[in-house]
Parts: sequence; C-alpha cells; structure tokens
Amino acid sequence: MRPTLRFIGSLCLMLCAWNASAQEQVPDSIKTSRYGLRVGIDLFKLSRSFYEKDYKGLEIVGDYRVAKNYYLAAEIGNENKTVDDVQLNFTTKGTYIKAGFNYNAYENWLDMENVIYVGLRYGVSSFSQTLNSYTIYNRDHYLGNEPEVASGEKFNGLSAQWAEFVAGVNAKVYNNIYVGFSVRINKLISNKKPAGFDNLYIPGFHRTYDGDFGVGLNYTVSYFIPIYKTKQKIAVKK
Amino acid sequence: MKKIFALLLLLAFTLPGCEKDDICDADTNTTPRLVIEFYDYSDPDLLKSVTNLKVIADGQENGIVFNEAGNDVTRYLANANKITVPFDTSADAITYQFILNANSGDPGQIYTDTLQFNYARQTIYISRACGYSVLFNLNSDNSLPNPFVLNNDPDALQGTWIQNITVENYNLISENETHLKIYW
Repeated sequence: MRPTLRFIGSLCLMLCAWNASAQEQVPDSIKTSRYGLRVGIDLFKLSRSFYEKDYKGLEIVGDYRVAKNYYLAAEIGNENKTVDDVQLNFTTKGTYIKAGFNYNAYENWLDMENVIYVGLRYGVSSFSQTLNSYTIYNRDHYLGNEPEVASGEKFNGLSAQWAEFVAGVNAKVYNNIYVGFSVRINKLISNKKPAGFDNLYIPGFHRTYDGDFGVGLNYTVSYFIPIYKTKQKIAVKK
Repeated sequence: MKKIFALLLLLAFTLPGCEKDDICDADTNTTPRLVIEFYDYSDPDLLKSVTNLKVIADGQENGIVFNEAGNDVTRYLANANKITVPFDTSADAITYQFILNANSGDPGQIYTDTLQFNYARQTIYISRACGYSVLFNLNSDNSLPNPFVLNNDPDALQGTWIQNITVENYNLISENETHLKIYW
C-alpha cells in the first residue's frame, strides 16, 4: 500500500470511530409535543388605531395544531379606514375572515416550540364604502380650478374574496406566550364593485390598485392553550 | 432562526414600498373639451383656418390661451382650423364670444359672434388616480334648449362672421373627435 492510501484509510476509520462515539454519547430522550389552540391579537393594527387618526382596526389570530407540522389557522378582523387621495376621500368599513393552514418548516430541538411557517389562506371580506368628497379631474383650468365636491354617497353590500400566501414566525418567549409576525401576498379572486365607484380599499386585503395583488403583514402576541400532549422517544442510531 | 427572522422583518418593511404611483395618466380620457373644426363656407369639405380668433367665456377677463409661447396679445389668438374650448362642469350652459381678427387695429375688421352652448352633465368614475370626470351631452331633445344659440337667436345659423354651424357629435366623451363644425 502506498502511504497516501494508507493515510486516507486511517482517516476514514478515525472519522467513523468518532462519529460512532458521538452518537453513543447522546442519551435517549423523550420529545414532548404539545397540541392545542393558540389565540392572539395583531399588535400592528391595534397600535395603528392609536397613532393613525384615519384608521381603526382589530385582528384576532388563531391556530390549532392538527399534525406534527400542520396547523389550521385563521384571522378574523375589522377595519375602518379613511383614505385621503388627491382626487378622492373615502372611508371603507368592514369585516373579514381568513382561513387556511400553516406548515411549520422549522425542526425544533427537544422541547422548543417555535414555528417558522409558510401557509395559505382564503379570505372573504364584507364591507361598505362612503365617498366623502371628490374633485373633478379637469386638465383645463381656463374656467378656474375644480372645487372639492362633498358627496357622502354610501356604497353598501360590497364583498371580495382572495387567496393569500403567508410566511411568518411564531417564537415562544415565555411559558405559553408567543410573539410572531407574518407577511402576506394576496391575489384577488372575486371583487363585487359598486356602480360609479371602485373598491379602493378592501378590509383584510388592503389597498388595491389596477392590479389584483395586495400585500399585508401582522405582528402578533398569542397565548397557547395546551389541550393534549404526545410523547415521542427520539430514536438514537447505534 | 434569527437570520430568517431578520429577513422576514426586512421584507415586512420593504413591501409597502412597492406601490404604484397615484398619478393620472396623461392618455386617460378625463373631462373633455368641445372640439371645434373650422370649414370654408363656399367649399364645405375644405378646412379653413381662422385668423386671430379670440375666444372669451362670459365672466372671464382673458381669452382661452391657444398659444402658450405667445406674448400678452398673441397667446390668446388662434390661427388654426381646430380649437378646443372647455365647458363648465358646474353649470348646464356656457356662453363664449368668438372674436375674429381680434387684434386688428381697424374696429371694422373685428367680428364678434356669441355662442351659447346648452348641455347635460354626467359625472363618471375613472380610476383612483384620476378620480371622477364630467362628460357632457349637447342637448339633442327638441323639448330642451338648442345645443347652441348664436347671438341669442335660437333660430340663427348665421352671425357676423359665422355662416353655418353643425353638430357632429352630441356626446362629448373624448377630445379625439370633432364635436362641432363652424363654416365661415
């Protein structure tokens, strides 16, 4: 045998031996998985309600662990938002519900219970819009600038549905208290528009433009209510 | 975990930055003006440019600016075969004076005709950036005042310089079409 080959051979043996000894040092451990309901509130909407004069919103979030990595998840919320644009000023009020699931892509060590997830939601919103005032768009200023026209016209019975892709985290900070946040990309599926106006803001979906896409986010603090536990012996390779 | 957390946090703050501008596109049809074309009375198919035409709305001090680059006098003068004049979005009628050879030193060369336009207004929603615009419909119903009244005479078609007027399009929707033809 040439010296180099002999060296490689011994290196392999050493590595195998080290590897084996490393595995033997890990004691058998029991991994406890807790299943239950996590309920929380969106701090982002709540805080905006205080510092933003034209906004009031509340969102309750919840998820329920149904399998090792799967959670049923939902958000229920209410928003009241006044938008003051150059040409328009309107108020949108309404309620929404989003339901779907999260997939936890994070492998927790032992009894850690953090979640880094991706998920899907189906969102439904029912709302009304009030056109507070508008200004006629007129490129010609010969006869003077267009005045702002007070309207107050209300458009009731509006609705929209959308699909939402979610990515987020939920980190356990203390006992059963979790903080988390998520970002969302929404795609409108249906949108019942009023005659003579448009759904420029959809509660839960956020502001819309000509396209069908919207974005959203939330910062949550949640409380976990444990319902049952499963114990799993972690297999150790010998 | 921390890295992903930081990444998501970054994403959360950059996402609201991807908004479209709220600017009304210049190509969008908004509140239209009346498009008038001038034709030769003796050869009605022939476009004929007006000479130093000044157009002033009742209640206005200055004429419509036809020539942005002109001086205090010439900027209000049209020397084209096509002009646009705005309608009032807050009333159903507007009266204009059409003054031919307005800058002439000889008062005998200045011809003034008064045209009153009568129309209905319709407010329509365009888009978020443009908001609402007003469309105009020149009266076409006999029970309503005539679409145009020349020199306060509902039956007149001939004025001091205007020889004939025809309405080509009662509905003002865009400025890409001619609404009124004036023969002189």
